Amino acid sequence: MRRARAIALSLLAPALLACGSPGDARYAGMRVHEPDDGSYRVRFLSPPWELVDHEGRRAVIEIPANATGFIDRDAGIPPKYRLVVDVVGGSAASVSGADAASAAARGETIVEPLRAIETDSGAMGFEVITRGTDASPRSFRYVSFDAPAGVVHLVFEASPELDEPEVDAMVRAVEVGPFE
Amino acid sequence: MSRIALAVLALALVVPEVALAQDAAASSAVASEPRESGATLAEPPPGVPPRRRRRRRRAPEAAEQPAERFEWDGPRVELGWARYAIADAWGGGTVDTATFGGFVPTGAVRLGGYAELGVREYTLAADDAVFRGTLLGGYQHLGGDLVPYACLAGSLGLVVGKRFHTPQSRVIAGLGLEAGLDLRLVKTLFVGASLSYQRATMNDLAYDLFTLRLRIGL
Repeated sequence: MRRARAIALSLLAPALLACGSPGDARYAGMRVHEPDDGSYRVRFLSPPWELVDHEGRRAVIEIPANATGFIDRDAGIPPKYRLVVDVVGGSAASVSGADAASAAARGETIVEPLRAIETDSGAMGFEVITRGTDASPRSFRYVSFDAPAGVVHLVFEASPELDEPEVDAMVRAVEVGPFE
Repeated sequence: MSRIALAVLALALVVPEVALAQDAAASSAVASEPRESGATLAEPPPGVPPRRRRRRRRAPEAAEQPAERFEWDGPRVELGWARYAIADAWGGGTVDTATFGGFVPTGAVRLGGYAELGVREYTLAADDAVFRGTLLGGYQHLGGDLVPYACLAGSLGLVVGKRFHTPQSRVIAGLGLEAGLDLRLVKTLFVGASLSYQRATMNDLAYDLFTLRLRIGL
């Protein structure tokens, strides 16, 4: 019995000591998506976020709706959160301005008007937060960062509010390339 | 024949009454007052030698021995409060938990454990709930009101919370050392404090858990 205990402890101790990178390191435990051309890095907590599609510079990351635990995903239930990242032409200010200007045309009302933001890595950009109509009460957050390749454009869409600290932290974790 | 029967019947009626009266007289303070005849019921009838009251003798050794000193053989059950941090770079931080623990009476071998239930601070949304159990095995130095100890500690638990409004539960497991001090206050009531270090893992990430635990128990 003693011998078995000693063996179990000696096996367990190194396993515990060795496993995992430090949990308090910056962005520890977050997944990163970086397109092949290295134009940006988007970090997301997985779970609950999942990279569901990526092609070229475009990537789609989602948190499925709670109901998808019981109902088939293809049943047409929108995800709880959806983020589409892409690189577009222009400047961050002009892209965000266009996002704000076209809100009404999309049936959205502006919740937070155009404002400047900065990421943890120092990239500057703009964002605007809108809300859908009563018939489709989804929240939207349009974020744009200037990049050498153009504008890194993030479009969040979600059932919950998007002007909240978890989404702020996710936006701040975005990095704009090129990377060495 | 009938006379003898009557005499026996009379004796049977009278003797219990006399016995009852004697008992009552013995327990009453008034019983010592003389009656008209100058005798009390407590006193024996003439011709019968007086009863000597038996005094219970104490065993001489019991009277001479000093009161035996109470020797505390360590804690049995305890309630406590623990504070540590499962700090990550995503808003997770300080943990405060209430603990309930118990120990096996194994003398110098300190063998026991505790369960804890508490809250982990999460700065980006609602706090997490923490459920955790810890097993302790080690040495405690008995022999006085102050019991220092050092133990190996292994823990397993669950951190439950929401990330982006989505329920998440993560298993946390750790291994380390705990050292502390128990101070007996009165009888078996004690207070204690302990510090521990555990290397823990959760979601494939490693955490250093430094825990302060304050306890009270029996």
